[in-house]
Amino acid sequence: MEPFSSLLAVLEHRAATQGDERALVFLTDRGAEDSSLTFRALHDAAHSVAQRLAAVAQPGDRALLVFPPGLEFVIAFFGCLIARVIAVPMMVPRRQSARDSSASIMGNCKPAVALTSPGLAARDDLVARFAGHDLHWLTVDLAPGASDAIDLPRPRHDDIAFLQYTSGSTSEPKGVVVTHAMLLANMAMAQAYLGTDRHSTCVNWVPHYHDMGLILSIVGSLYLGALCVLVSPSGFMQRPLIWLRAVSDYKGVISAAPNFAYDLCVARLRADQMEGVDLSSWKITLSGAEPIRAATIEKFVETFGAYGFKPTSINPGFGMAEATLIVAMSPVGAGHDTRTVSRAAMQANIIRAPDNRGDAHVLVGCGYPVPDSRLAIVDPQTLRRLPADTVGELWINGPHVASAYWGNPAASAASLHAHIDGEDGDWLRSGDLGFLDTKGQLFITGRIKDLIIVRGMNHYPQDIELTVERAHAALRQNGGAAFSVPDERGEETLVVVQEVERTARNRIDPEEITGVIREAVTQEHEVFARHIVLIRPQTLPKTTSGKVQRALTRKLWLEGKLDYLTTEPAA
Amino acid sequence: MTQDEISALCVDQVAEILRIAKDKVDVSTKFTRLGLDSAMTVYLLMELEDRLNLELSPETFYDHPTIAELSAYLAEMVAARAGQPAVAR
Repeated sequence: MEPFSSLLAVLEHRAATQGDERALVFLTDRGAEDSSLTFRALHDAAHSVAQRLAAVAQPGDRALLVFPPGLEFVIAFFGCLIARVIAVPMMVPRRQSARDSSASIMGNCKPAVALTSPGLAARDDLVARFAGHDLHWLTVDLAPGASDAIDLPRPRHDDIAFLQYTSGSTSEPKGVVVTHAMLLANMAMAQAYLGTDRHSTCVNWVPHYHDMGLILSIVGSLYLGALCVLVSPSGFMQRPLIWLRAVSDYKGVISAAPNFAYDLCVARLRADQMEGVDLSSWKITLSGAEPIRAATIEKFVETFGAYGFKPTSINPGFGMAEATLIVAMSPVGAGHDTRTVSRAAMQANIIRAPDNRGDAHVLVGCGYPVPDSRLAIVDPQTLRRLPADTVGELWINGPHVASAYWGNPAASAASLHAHIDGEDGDWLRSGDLGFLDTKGQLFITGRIKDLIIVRGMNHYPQDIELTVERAHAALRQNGGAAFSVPDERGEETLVVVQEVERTARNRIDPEEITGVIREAVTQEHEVFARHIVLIRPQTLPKTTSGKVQRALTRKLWLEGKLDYLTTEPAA
Repeated sequence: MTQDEISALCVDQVAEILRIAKDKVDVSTKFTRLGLDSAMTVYLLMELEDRLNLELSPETFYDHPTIAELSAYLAEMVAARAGQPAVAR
């Protein structure tokens, strides 16, 4: 394939050579075909949006993309690329949520324009939420574009394509600056590694504001000239089997999802809903974005083998927005690789065989680095490179790695331009802990950051702690810790520990307060706080400078050694 | 199914979804207060659709936010359907 100068060049190439072929199909929540676009229709509609954008924004301005699932988002995204306006995909703020990252994202990137769908533009609560910002609104629908759109200056290879806000807390979101060059490099890496082509139909239900949905599926398919079939995330959550039926109906070759999605399909299996489903076309079944469990894979393979699913198509990988998306994947057709290690030794950062069955912990390999990239395992304190089979922080280097977070030089220098002791070169610090085995396969064992990952969504503990302390007047400020522990099924589950005010401790109703906390956490963060523990004032472990020690709190909680206010912690 | 049976079904399902003891599931406590997030609400909705052979939308849970209210509403729907001519299957 010719090297492309930008993602726009890719779109033009597809419109010129495969114009009448379908680029995208969007399915309804019931799995029926809702709408579709050919490569030419996408190209033309995006040009029409670009023309409207050029009238109200300058190249380099930021444009919020606030869209429900559907093809309007894709048109708007490419419209921004053509107008050289920096796209900022954003989750649609939920109606009931008082506090989310949308205000902080706007504060960080200062958008001039916002693009949305006609339906969302009419939603009162959204109009009110964005009222204080000086934004020029454009609505994008599926009306055909004009093929005689004006000729705009073209994006350059190193121009910024969009900002991906996936990391950082709600109060301090970090927008990864993604350039055309990074996207093209990462797509080329994936294509070389996976051997995909224009026949590699992709089926995706992951939200378009998530890098897995946008980059792997939407941009990745355009890069290959392949069809991308979009299932709405809510449709998937309600009826996960429509994802599998879409793979069958469209002869999907590649589809990616976080670990929980595979569990959900097994849990929601209804034989009558699987009639006629044939999964034998599915060659690359990527799992990433949250810890991958061997038990999940084995159950999925066992359950769907009867429907033609090939165990060798399972492809565990590792990705992050700071590296565009794809960092490591398993070889196509190899299936998943596991390594059984000592749990006790792993907690001390050493990898060795288990002492006995109780000590055994099964890790799933995340595959090998994509071509033209390098991985290193580095001691996070000494910054020295570590040998194989030793746990340290995963560092990444290659043309897919970002050089900046938008408007945040300090975080950019610390995380994106790190240096290994005694070596040259800039590296991305992933914040994840893991090791490389002697063959170079990557295994992830945990995280340095106190990040909580439930169902593929990242939650920052400080965000949840803030929600908790504000939930009731009897709760002490800066007196809470949120962390996750694996439950009896090995899934991450949220624990909240919170100090109660001295003045309030004898006249509160613990049941009432834990209910209030649980409701607030559910509404603000969409995550169930399974264990809520109230403790006596000034007993939460903190450093001398007053910082909450989450890891120590977690350890004490697991050992039952916190100073509980109630004898029996409310479950 | 009667309201009591539907209520007991909801308690079982909520306990299963949240993985808590059934006696911790109060029928007059709001679903949000119990800690059901939107994905969990959808699981409950799917189970009820399956068991009762009804079509429900997530709004049903906003309009009837406790097990007591929801089971009363669903019992009415089930009774209303029973009053109609049987549909050939």
